[in-house]
This record gives sequence, C-alpha cells and structure tokens, in this order.
Amino acid sequence: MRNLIPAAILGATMLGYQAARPQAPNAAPKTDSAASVAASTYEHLATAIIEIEATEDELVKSILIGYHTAAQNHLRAAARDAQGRVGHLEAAAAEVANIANEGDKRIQAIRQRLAKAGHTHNTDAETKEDYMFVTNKEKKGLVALAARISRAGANASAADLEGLGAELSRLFESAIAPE
Amino acid sequence: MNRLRSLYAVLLAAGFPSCSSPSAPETPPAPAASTPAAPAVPATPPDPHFVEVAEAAGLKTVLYCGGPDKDHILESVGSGAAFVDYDGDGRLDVYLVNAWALDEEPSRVRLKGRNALYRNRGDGTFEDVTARAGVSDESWGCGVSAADYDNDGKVDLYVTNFGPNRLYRNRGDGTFEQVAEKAGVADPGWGAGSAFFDADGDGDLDLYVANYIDTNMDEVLSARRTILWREKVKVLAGPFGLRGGRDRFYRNNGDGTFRDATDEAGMTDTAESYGLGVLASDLDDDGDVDVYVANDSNPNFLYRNNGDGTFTEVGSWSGAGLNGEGVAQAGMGVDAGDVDGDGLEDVFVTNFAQDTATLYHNEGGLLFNDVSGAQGLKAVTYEALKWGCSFLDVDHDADVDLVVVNGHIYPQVDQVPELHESYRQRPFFFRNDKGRLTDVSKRAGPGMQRAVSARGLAVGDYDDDGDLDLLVTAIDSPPLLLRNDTPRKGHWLKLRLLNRHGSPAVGARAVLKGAGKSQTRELRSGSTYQSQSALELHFGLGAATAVETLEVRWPGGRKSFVRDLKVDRTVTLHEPEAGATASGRAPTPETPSR
Repeated sequence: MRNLIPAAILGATMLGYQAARPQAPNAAPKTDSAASVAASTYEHLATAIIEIEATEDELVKSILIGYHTAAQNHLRAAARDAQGRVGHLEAAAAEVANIANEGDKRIQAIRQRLAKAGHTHNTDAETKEDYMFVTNKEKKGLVALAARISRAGANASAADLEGLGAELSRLFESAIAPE
Repeated sequence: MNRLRSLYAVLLAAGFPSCSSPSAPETPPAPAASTPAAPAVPATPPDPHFVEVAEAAGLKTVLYCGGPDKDHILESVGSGAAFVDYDGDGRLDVYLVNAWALDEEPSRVRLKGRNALYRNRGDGTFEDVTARAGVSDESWGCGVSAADYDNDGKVDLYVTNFGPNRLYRNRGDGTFEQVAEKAGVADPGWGAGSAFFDADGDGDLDLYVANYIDTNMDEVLSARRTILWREKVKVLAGPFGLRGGRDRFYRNNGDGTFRDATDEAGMTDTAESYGLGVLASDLDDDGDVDVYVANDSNPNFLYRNNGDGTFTEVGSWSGAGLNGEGVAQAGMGVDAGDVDGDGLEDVFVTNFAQDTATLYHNEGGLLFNDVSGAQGLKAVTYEALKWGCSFLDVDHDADVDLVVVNGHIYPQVDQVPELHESYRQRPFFFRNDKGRLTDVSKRAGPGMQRAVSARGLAVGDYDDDGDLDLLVTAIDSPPLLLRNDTPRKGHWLKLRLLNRHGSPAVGARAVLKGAGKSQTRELRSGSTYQSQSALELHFGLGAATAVETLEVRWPGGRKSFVRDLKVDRTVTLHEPEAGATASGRAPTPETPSR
C-alpha cells in the first residue's frame, strides 16, 4: 500500500496534465484554465484514492481468505496426522486468531502506521470498533473458536475436527459477507 | 508494630535427582537460634493495615514526569522503583528511577531528575547513597529490573530510559559501573518493562526489554492535546496512532556481554506493539521460562519457551492475549500468582481507565481463561487507571492477595466533575478469601487511602519483620512507602534462594507444604510495572507451625528437598553443586541475619 500511494498520486497528476495539455499551445489561455487543470487533477486523484480504498478492501479480504485456507488445511492435517495433531491444532488456532484480529502481527503494525497517517482500518474511527470485515461480535466468536481448536488436544476425533472446520467456515463466510 | 528480628537458618539443602527418590537421605535444616512466639491465628482474617512512612524513612526524592499538563504520552507513564539488597547486608535497599520536569509555556526541559539509591540503615530509615554508588544518571528514566547478570554474586541493575538504557554492574564495594554500551544492552528506544531470565538454560541470565513508542524529544516538546476524552476535555494523544517501539531480547554471551537475539529467538515484535509490562515465568510448569508482555492497546504477547532458547508466540490463541470478550485491552502492568491454589500461576494484567483489570486463570498447557467477571473484578476496577500490581500474602493466611496501584494519565479529568474521575487515585487491595478476591481497600489502613497518580509498585520486607511492605512511585511526587502493620496472625517464612554463584537464583521455583496446604512461589526479575520486587520468596503459613516439606526446583532443573523447616524466620538455601545431588550435604551452622 505504501508504494501504491505515491504511484497513484503520480498517475493522477500525469492524467491531469494530459487532460490540460491540448489547451496549452497557440490558443490564448482562458482565465479559468489553471483552476480547471487543478480540478481535473484533483478529480483524477480522488478517483485514485477511492480505487485504492477499494483495493484495500480486496487486499484485506484476500489476506483473510489466506488465513482461512491455512486454518482449514491445518485442521485436515490434524485429522490425518495423530503425531503432529497438537502442532496442527495450534497452527490452525493461530490462523483463526489472525482472522479474528483481521491480520497477523505484521498487519497490526501496518494498521498502526495507517492510523498515524490518519487512515484507520476500523469501521468506526472514533471508537476503533469493528474492523473492515470482522465486527466485534464476529471477532468474539472467532476468538472463542480459536480457543476451542487449541484445546481440542491430541485425542480429538476426526468428527470433532470436521465439526470445528465446519464452524470455522460458517463464521468466516459470515464475516466476509457484504454487510 | 511488633518488630520481630528474623533469623537466618543458612542451609545447604540436600539435593536429589528427583522427588522419586524418597529413600535418599534428607538434610534437615539447622535448628533456629530462637523461635519467636507463635501468634494466635484468628478464625476470620484481620483487615490489612498499611501506614505510609516514606518521609519518616527518608525517601524524599521527587519523581518527575514532564509538565503539569501532560501534553505528550511520555509525560504520563511515570517511572518505577526497586526493592533490592545491593550491598548484600540482608536488608532491602531502595532504588528510584526518575524522569524529567518540563515547563509548559514555552515547552522546554526544566529539570533533569536523577535516579536515587537509598541504603537501608536497618532501623526503618534509609540514607541516600546515590552519589557514592554512581547510579544517579540524568536520562529520562522509566523502569528498573535487577539480577546478577554476570554471575559474580552481586545484584546488578538494568534501567530502561527514554533513550539509551543503562546497565549498572555492581562492583560489590557499594559502587556500580555503568556498562550498558560495553555489554550491548544500551537499547536506544523508549524502554519500559524489562526482565532478566535464563531463556536457554545455560546458567546465565538473558534479558527481555519492552519498548513502548517510537518518538523523540522534539515531538514531546511540541505535542499538543488533541484528543477529546469522553467528549469533555482535551487530553494527550496516543498510543493509538503512534508508531510502537520494537521489543528486544538480548542473549547473554556468558562473558559479561549480550547480543541482540530477538529474531533468532522468535521474539520479533512485528506488530510494533506498545510494550509495557514484562513477566518472565514458567507458566506451563515445564521447567523453562516463558515470557508474557502486557501491551498497551494491542493484544498481549505470550511467548512459549520451546526448550531450546527459542520461543513461539501463542498469545493469540492461548486466551491470554485478549480479554474474554475478544478485545485487546490497554495493558500496563502484569504479575503472576496462584490465586486458587491449584499449583499453576495465574496471570493478572492491569489496564486503562474505563476498562477492567483482567485475571487470566491458568488452565495448564499455556491455556488461559478470563475469570475477571467471575472474580468480581470488573465492577471494582473499571473506573480506575491501573498500573503496578503484585500478588503477595499480606495477612499470612497461606494464599496470595493482590495489590494494584492506580492513577490517571490525564490531569484534566480533575477539571470536569461530571466525569467522576480523578488524576490521583487510591490503590486497590484484594484479599484472597478461599480463592475469591475480595476488595477490602477501604479497610486496609490509612496508607491505602492515599490518593496519588501512582505507577510503579515493588514488594518486599524492608523492615525485616516478616511481612511484606509496598514501595509505590507516583507522578511528580516522592514515593510512598506503605509499611505493613497488619495485626500478626499466621506464621511466615522467607526464602533466600542463592545459586552457585551466591546470587539470587532467578527462575527458581519453590513448592511449600504445611498444614495441608501447598503453595508455589517463583523468584522473578521484572514483573509489576517498570519495577522490581525483592529477590526473595515470602510465604504466609497460616496456622502451620512448621513447614512439612519444601521443594526447590533450581534453574537448570536440580532439585532440593527440605523437611520440617521451622517458621517465622528467613532461611537461605544454596543451590547444590553438580554431583552433590545424590547424597546431599550437611548443613552449615545457622547464622544470625545481621
């Protein structure tokens, strides 16, 4: 995202410049040409900003899908691999916690940097409630599920693990569904 | 106050390969020179009684922290303190960490506060030996932890600063040498809590340092209050929206130096969380030390020791990273203690105002459950802004009580009565009533009714009368020394656990059994908030007139096993030498404590 912002600004400026250029040669400049160019440039920049925000939505959604896929893979591996079951359960729990927190620790650091720049990842900037996809209520459910997965233990049956996977799918689909 | 002169029974405890060798000879403790009169044990516990005696004791250093308006978050976090026996005379001395005073208009540095070391005279008073000891420093100080990092038998001090941290190596002659740069631990960030612990079982102490926020003095001096607190009053900004500092883990090279091993140990603070409190404790009781970090406004960390000197962060799913509502709280201080007597250390974390403190019940295997609601802590702790905290047995009834010190960070709350908040706040005292923490703060004596903007808390028996006293730091104020004058009820025992180098065996774990009760304590560096409690273990024993068994698990795994210890005294145990574990060793004669 950090690299996209200057590129977007540059792109918008170039587009604005291109839009303004045909007016420049030969003809006498209109009195409002500078303001027109500025408005045009700003419009392009606004378009870029809006599209970048949409891109942020899609990026975060794809990150969450990645966590979900990893969690399900670990749950399936836990069902197959009795010896490594506890490790897979812990890994699955960690991925579910990442969904709940809408990002791992690296993403949390990025969110703090965005907040410093005035861009909050939270739906409610004032109260810092609700992430972009995961609401506080959904987060609580996911955290509780992560705890249950981590406690499932070495003796968890395939049916237990399948049930946990199904519950994860349900919570996840609910979280990323359009509000 | 009934001042009892405690006695040492200096024991070289018999060590056994494990407790599965019951037929191996046991080494009884040396007889005590005298046994203090056993107090009667009342049916109902007496109320605790604390009296504030700092000024009379000579602790007068004002601990500064910025200007009166607290425009920047640096001016709000305060500084810590330590109870530490720096000169090895058996008495607890006091070390105070100090910051700077700022003017508001114009914003500038008014005064650079100096840290202070007070030597315990043994008569309830202290003398300022700062200049002689060479530990003053005029950095903007934050926190302190203590341990013998170089295994020379003397306790050293690590001081976190806003700016390069300091490591004071104890020369053993009453003076210290500042060696942080030479030792490789002069972390330049904004340090907060820290703790020494043996991460890799190699016999020397490693170091974890929590860093809070990445900022600089220009930002501090130019800060303006921009946040509207509860829609009433403009207050300082942060930490949300500020860049977090990255915590550091330093591995001890064994030659008096450390290296930054944060990444190789798996402790990279990728979240750049706002680290404050650090607890180094064997929370899963598997023989190695885990690390818990209380983060402000971020999930707390729980680093599980993998047994090979590396760690895995399991806070996100352990149940101890968030509260029971799945919310990351604003963690400040942290301590661990076995509230319900199940042998596992529960974790207590202090949090911001308008939020509850959190007690995580340890369910084994590094799984935790938030039991704050069930314990009734939510309603009591919600309004206060909570900092230093410690489990301790104040009333000697053989369980751990809980002390929490409080104080707001926004002085402006005093201007708006309808907020029902105050900058200066009273501490909490929770008495353990059969595993239930009961708020008896208002009945805990005049010392506990003193309202200050408190931050640090250290616990120790400075007057050597067998009960635990409190050292509290407060913003722009001298410290408080809360002497424990609780009517004597149960018996007690203090343990000084010394490793083979003669220094406090940080990481040692003691399990004591008496009168049908089992109690566990762990010797820790760090914990609470930016402060260091005494490096000795204290047990209340209730009606038990003897300790039936005492098992000590030393760092590295050796065990000592002692039977039929006498009570109401201080006992020193030495870690057995390698190879001396099978047959044990005869005890040395008892020596008086002074």
